[in-house]
Amino acid sequence: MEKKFTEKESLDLIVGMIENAKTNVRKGLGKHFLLWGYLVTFAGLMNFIFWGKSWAFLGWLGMLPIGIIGGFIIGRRNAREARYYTHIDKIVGFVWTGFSISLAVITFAVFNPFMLINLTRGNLFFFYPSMLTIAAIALFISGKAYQFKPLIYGAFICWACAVICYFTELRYDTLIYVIGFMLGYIIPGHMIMHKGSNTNRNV
Amino acid sequence: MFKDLDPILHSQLRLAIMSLLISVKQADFVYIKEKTGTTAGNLSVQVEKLSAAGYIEVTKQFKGKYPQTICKITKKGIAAFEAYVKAIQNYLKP
Repeated sequence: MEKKFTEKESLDLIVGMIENAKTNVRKGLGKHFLLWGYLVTFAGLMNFIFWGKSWAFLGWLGMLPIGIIGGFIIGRRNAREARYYTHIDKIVGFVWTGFSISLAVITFAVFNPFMLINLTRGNLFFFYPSMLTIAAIALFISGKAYQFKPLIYGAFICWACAVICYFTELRYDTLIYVIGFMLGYIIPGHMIMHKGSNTNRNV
Repeated sequence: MFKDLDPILHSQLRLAIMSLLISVKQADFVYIKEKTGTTAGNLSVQVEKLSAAGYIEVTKQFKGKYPQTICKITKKGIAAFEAYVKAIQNYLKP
């Protein structure tokens, strides 16, 4: 027989369950951060170390297919393994899809292989700050949605790095760009993986 | 007392399931079982009642080699839940 309960208990139960189901960051999101964080670090360091050689920029172009295909595989696997899927997960997913498309469009426009020979300081001048700004927006929305502060701090670091890029030599922009992604993506990515592992044990 | 309250929702476990599903877009059976702290048998019966009322949608699929039951709240379920909360709020008004 079902237990009778009062209106107050009923409301408490609703509030308790909603509180219980609050969205937390999960390991799946961390994998996306680590994928893009390490790809950008690799491409950026390649660009910095081999500065002056025309093929030094190819790392950026190589990053795109790996990131997009890798991101798709991670997304598929996350969806298959997820035990629950929230409205926030869906919106944050759209934000990162938008980020990936923007990243692909800007990178291809700047490092278009057909235009490598005409690569000028003009288009590169805006590349690093633009990319850092777009990355910061995605980080900021995700951090606020999941109430995960390292992502919010990461967003501010990326914005700060974007501003610094306007005052530094072009070659060092690549290094600042890498630093922005290391602090904004790789560190929070590992923190999410760690937090996600603990959360999964407690669910 | 409570004569206006939806009898389908006015049950601790069914209300807990609906509250959980209103917060998340969809959830699997094991997740709901863990969050509500009930037994699989009891949960199965209550899920069936909510599904029969059209408040939730139940999909069975495979996760690797293992079967997985996914529950998702319907528009009818959301409307019923909102009406239930409104009715409770009216009762609680001084």
